[in-house]
Amino acid sequence: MPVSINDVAFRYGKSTILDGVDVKIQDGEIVALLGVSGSGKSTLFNLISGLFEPSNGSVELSGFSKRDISYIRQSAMDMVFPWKTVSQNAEFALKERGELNEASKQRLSRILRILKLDGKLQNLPSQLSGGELKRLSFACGLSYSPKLVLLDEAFTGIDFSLKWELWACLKSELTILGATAVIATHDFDEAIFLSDRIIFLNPSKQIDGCEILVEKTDDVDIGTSLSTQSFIRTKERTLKAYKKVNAQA
Amino acid sequence: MRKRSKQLKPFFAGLIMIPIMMAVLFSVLKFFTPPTIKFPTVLAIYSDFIGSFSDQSVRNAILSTGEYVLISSVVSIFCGVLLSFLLNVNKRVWKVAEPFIDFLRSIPITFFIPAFAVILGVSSPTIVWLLAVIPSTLIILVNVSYGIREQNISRLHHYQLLSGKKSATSSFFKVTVYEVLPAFISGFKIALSYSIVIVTVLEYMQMGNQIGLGGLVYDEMEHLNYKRVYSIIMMVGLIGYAFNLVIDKLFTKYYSNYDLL
Repeated sequence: MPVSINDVAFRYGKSTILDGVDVKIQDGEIVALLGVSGSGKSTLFNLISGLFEPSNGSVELSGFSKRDISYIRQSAMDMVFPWKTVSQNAEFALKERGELNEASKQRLSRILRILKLDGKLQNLPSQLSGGELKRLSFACGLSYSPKLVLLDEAFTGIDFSLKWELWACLKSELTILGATAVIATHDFDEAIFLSDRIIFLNPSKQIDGCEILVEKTDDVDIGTSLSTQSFIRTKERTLKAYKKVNAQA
Repeated sequence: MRKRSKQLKPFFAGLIMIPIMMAVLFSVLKFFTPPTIKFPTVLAIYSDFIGSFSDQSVRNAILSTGEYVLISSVVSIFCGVLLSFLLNVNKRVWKVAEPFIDFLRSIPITFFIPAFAVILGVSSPTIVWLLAVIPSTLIILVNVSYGIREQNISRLHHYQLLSGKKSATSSFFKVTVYEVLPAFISGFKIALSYSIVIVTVLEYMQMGNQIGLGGLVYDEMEHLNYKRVYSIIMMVGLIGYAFNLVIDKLFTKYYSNYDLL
């Protein structure tokens, strides 16, 4: 298991943010994490990425280190350095890691081209639109070929066309990299389209026993994929499970 | 080229606004001043202002005031930035220090003149820049501390993940310094204005061993030469503007990618 979260608890002062969380994620698996606001999704990501230390339990990574984790957040502005240009931001991780070479540069230019940022390389983040900033945050997060990608409501607050563009880009990049991903979201469509398995954080700050295995379709087109029978069936099951998990509180 | 000319147009428009606004101000002052004082006309002040540059005593005074302001600015940057990073190593340390800093900031620095005069002597040049250093340091200290406390923690975490480094030193030089920069610059600009005001007031009070612009204002007032008094006042403003311009140019040159202004 590349990610194994064992009985993890996190307390901040007197409040318990997570309590006895157990999750195992397989190599190359894409897991969606659903939970109401304040259920501890972001804290769980901070624990996986090593930014926080658990109060109890452990987070074990195998086959890669914390250096190979990418964490893409909802606020794109937090994911870029305002004093650097688009190209400097995109290259930053590779430079810092001493991995900026011809091959990595080519891979990065491909990502920037897919994300339609190749014409804005010399712009500062303050000169970009909200959508472009979001694209840049994805370029930064994917630039160093991470083995585990954590997406914390990364698609929230953007229009459908950009959301679908980013879904497609993320899906293809994860396939190319063979990376594992955990996606925290409130959007059922996003969870079903992107993930292989859906898990739930319940209001008791624990991973609920029930999980949904997503039926995969071969549809490449997102619009078509969202309207297939299997997709609708999965969505109904997810909704039922979500209601059940939150009714337990 | 077009972009450059777009930037230059408001710059020159701003420059032209200075004499226009000063002319309005002087006209209002002349209107309300009793005729016995013989407030000079705008034209007389402006022609004296231009002519005074050929006066050796004025040029020396500009250099003297500029020197004091420069020394006090450099010392206050050093002390202010150093103190703010030391006091913000820990939130508790800052909480303990903050009341005294706020207390000290509220005291007019001129109240310390008697004590400093006894220790350093009235004619010591140190007394002029040292008294200017105190409020300037406190302003920089408060601003930089605010910048440190309010820096974007998510961005700091983002840096640690992107770089794969968790060392406090690399985070400091790669992120914190840039995050604090806007707060530092706004603080430094206010601190600079304080330095100029305090230096000229102390010169006016005949402190230090050089005759600066404040000293010249005093001398010319003694001789009822009001047009020279007001042309020197314009020069003080010009020094402040020149210093601000240098700060802006330096920071946009070395941190050209930061959208500071």
